[in-house]
Amino acid sequence: MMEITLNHYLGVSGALFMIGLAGVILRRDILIIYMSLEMMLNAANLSLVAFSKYQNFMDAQIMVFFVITVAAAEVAVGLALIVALYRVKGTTRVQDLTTLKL
Amino acid sequence: MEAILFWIFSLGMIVAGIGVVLSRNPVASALSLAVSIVFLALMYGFCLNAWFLMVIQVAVYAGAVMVLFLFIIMLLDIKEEEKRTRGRFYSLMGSALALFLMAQFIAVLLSTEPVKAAVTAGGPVNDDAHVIGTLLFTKYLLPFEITSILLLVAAVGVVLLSLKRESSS
Repeated sequence: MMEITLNHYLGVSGALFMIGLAGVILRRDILIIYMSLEMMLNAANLSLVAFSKYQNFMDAQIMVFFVITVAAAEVAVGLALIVALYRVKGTTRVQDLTTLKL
Repeated sequence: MEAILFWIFSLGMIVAGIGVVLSRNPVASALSLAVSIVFLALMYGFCLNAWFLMVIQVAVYAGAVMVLFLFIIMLLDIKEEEKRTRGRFYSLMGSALALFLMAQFIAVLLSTEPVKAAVTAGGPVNDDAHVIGTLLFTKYLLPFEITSILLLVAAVGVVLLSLKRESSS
């Protein structure tokens, strides 16, 4: 078993990010797109924590802490927006949500 | 030991992540995302020694965020996507774009020197909660306080957004 280096963690982080990107491109339900965005945020967090370990730099973990906090607030606001959108339009599929004006 | 755990966690994380994208049922997608997040949290703890972030990740993401997602899915009663409305060409190009970026990323990683762990510099941090707490309340006190305002704004915003406006005119 080879030694795990920083590059392995960055590879996994990149894979997770690209899966999230593929989800954003391929899926049509706005909730699934939102989940994929969360996955991309998590991938960025993983690379930050990996850098924090390999550079012995704890400040990166503080940044991850803030990212998680902001992501939680963002999820609450975003889901409220989706619910408000659903009330008006009656759907969450992106191809039916083509206008900015409600 | 760390290597075995790393491969187990990363494999589980990526398989669950692919499950999020591929499963037709939104509830299955949300549960796959929860599994992926839990694997990520385990990787934080057991591979990267970030135990505090592991707890935070499980509590905030797998706890709060995923419950919120599932709640909204149940509330809106979203059906499974009945048929493919995206064309085959579109899906092909989307996957190709992601795969191309991934290949480029891996090529960059392979062409650089692998970074080994900084073994001796300060030794392994075992009391990371202590270090994070100290940093958070000294060096990063102002961002911490601003975060509390952000959370307040988010709470007020959510209440405003989800209010039914009565007889608007």
